[in-house]
Amino acid sequence: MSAVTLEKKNKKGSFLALIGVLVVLALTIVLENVLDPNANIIVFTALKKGAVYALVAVSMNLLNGFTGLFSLGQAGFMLLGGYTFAILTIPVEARESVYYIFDGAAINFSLTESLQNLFGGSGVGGAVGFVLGILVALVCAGLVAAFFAWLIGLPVLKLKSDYLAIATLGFAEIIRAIFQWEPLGKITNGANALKSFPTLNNFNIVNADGQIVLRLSTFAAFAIAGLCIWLVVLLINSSYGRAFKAIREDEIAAEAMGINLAKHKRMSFMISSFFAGVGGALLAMFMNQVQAKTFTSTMTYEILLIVVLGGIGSVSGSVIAAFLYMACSEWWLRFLDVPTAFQSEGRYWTFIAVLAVAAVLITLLLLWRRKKGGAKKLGEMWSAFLPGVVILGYDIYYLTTGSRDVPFLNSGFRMVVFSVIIMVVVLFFRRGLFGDKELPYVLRQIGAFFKRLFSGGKKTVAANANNEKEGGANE
Amino acid sequence: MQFAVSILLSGISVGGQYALIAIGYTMVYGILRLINFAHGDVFMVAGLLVVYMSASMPLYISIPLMIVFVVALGFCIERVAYKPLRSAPRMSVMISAIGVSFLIQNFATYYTGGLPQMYPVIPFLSDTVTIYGTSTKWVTIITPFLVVLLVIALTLLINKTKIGLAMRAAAKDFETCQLMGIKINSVISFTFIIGSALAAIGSVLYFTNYQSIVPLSGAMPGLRPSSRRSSAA
Amino acid sequence: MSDVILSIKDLKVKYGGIEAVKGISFDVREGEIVTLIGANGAGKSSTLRTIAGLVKPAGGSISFKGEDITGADPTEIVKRGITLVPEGRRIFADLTVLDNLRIGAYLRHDSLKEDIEWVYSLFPRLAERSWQAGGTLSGGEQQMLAVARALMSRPKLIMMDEPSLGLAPIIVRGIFDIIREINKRGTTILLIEQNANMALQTADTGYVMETGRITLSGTGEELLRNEAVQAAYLGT
Repeated sequence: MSAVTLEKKNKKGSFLALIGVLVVLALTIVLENVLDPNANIIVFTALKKGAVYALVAVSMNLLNGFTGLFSLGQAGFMLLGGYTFAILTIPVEARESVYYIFDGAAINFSLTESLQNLFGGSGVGGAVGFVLGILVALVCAGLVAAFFAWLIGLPVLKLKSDYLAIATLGFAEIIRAIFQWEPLGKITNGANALKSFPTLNNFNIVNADGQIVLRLSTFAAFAIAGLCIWLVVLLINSSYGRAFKAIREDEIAAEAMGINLAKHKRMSFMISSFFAGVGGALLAMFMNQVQAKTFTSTMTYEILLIVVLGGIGSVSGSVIAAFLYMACSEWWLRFLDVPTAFQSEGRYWTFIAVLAVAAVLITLLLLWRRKKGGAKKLGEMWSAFLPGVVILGYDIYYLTTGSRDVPFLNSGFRMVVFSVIIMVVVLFFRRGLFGDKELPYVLRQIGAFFKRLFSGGKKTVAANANNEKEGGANE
Repeated sequence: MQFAVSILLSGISVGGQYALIAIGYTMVYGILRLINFAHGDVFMVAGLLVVYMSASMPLYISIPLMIVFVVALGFCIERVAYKPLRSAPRMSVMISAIGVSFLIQNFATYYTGGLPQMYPVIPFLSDTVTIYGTSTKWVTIITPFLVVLLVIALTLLINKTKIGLAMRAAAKDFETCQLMGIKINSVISFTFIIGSALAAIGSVLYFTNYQSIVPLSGAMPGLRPSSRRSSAA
Repeated sequence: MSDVILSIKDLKVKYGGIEAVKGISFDVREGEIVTLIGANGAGKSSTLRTIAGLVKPAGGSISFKGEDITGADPTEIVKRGITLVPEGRRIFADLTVLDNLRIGAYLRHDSLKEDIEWVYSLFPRLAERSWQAGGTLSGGEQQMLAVARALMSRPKLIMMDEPSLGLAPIIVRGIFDIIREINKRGTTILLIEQNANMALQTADTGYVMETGRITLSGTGEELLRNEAVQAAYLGT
């Protein structure tokens, strides 16, 4: 393929991607203005959180997936970004009440207000200034996070993988502890939440009477996250990105190629943390408050989970996994938390029957897998019977209780099912949903799969016959 | 003097409890290069099991039974969540461990309704005793001795027995171990069994001291030993 | 002629989509030294690893002492009396010399004293270093340790994967003396080597492997005199 056609293909691909992104953004605006946000709060929570986590997941993927540096400090950098944003943008009058325990804040100016006033205070000019203020504050959030990444990176980046993980995890915990420390309360508000700063809802366009004319909160989240992710993609496709991948594959070989290991590792760490900081600020804008105790190591684990589920080394994988994860945990599985009863006898008996059939099917499936794995005697395959026996046993037990309440449904069950789903994905999709490929490749694979399915056996049989003949000629 | 003795005792005691948990992490890490995030949660489950079983069974039955269950749990976790991923990239196994940890924590939250559970009072261990003028529980005194004993036993196991030899060899080279006729699966399962048994014993000591159990109880004891382990390694 | 102890029929080994061994057949007679020679990538290591059970064959059969062991687990294979001295020695660097020997006898339950004494008499240098960690030994000593370790389970058949790799010529001569010594004691030896000269001088029977197939076979001397072998492997 000539270089010209290659470039054309890339240009076409990125053009399509751009169109796709614009369509998605337009959709968010439409969605939020058509559906009542108060009635569908779960849907929009899932969307907004999905956007935020998509950004943070991509930032983590840059570091862990593309550069191969196993770091568990994401939550710490999100915390730094979130707090920086809040501290810089809380309106001056609100500061007194937010920091009431500490008798007022140390920092007494608000970026957004300053810029807003610069541009005229209200109306279009004020709005422009306001948005500008938010953008500047976001950049500051990222820069503060990046600065700390530089600081931490000095000692830590020399460590080998597992030690790097534990060290970054430790630093994240330290940062969290520092931000809850009383003596710093004038800046951080100690263990209390910071509130009253500009949130996603501030993006909604309001007319003179205070009525919301156009809802843009989801759009804002998507736009900011989308822009940042696009920047990361640009970076990955640049020569820096290639250097990162080289470092991931083989550090020694990379160094031999002339790649400055320390400089590039530091760069990857700082850029990843920059976007984690912006993600933290975005999260703050979503949650309407910032508090150190939200940014626990559990949050980092969740992000790591999303990254691995989507595929280490796949940006589109991380994005899609983030949305799937949020949709599952916030939205689709909600019904599992609510105790209900079977609506009819038919449904009750169907349930009993389904359990019994499932028990048998699972046992057969496991037996078949054991057989494929080489087990010959029945004795070696006893463990295949266990799940089936347990399910059947429960079925019988449930029958004897005679209750018509749908079993298990109770507060907390959603998270249990969610955890099981995660385990299933981890165990059966070893390289994540996308592996290290991006969306276009996956779509092509799906397309090819369907083509094969529908073009039927005839074509493939003929093709195979041809191949065999050719193969025979070579012998 | 009294204060010093009391602080000293509780320090040694807490250190010992963490040591028991840390040993479980270290053993698994040594062989599989895996930080078994689920280990701390198994520890928490051990506590919960005693709480529930002692409601209907005497302690001298429920505690040994708990140890059996916890060992079985550790064994099952390895077989279901780690063994299938042995040839997968390192991060996948770690995610599996995190996933198991999540699952256990969420299940515990679901089952207990999120309310802290109270550990039963074990006679003798919870009794107070006076040493050098400070009053403390027997469990604080016993823990260090018990831990030292277990560590000695474990060291003997690793250095003087055949299975210990196999574990030391497996830590470096699975394939060559197989050439010696060693069954790697058995060695790994054995490692998990020992680690879980130690966690079970550690849980009895720990929860006699801090009697309230919440689903996240395993996470902090898990974090400290795993950082200690890696700084020691 | 003694009985056939190991019989390989039409063995095929695949790694993913690549067929490393394309259907080879050969026999090893009891008490013989048999060698497989050939260039890198010919499929020799794959053959040994398949016999040892580390890799499952894609086709063909392996039988040992008349019993089919195709696809058996490594544990089973060691139990029946076949051990492998792997390529690159692969001794346990952190374990002492003595522990390395002990682990070689993992499946045995009887006393190891005699065997350890005999092994130390074969390899006096190892006896001197009994308490040293395996990783501190020189290349030649590690090779000796690997062979000694394989002997500890009292195998009927020892397979060796390139024992001369990376060793100085004088050490190599020593290794091959040991091979002859072990063979005299009654152990059958299956040997793969790139050092065709030494291998063919020591072996009773030889096979030449190229790209997954056996292309020549004969006694050691026949192959040494064979012109094609000389041109390809002996540098004359």
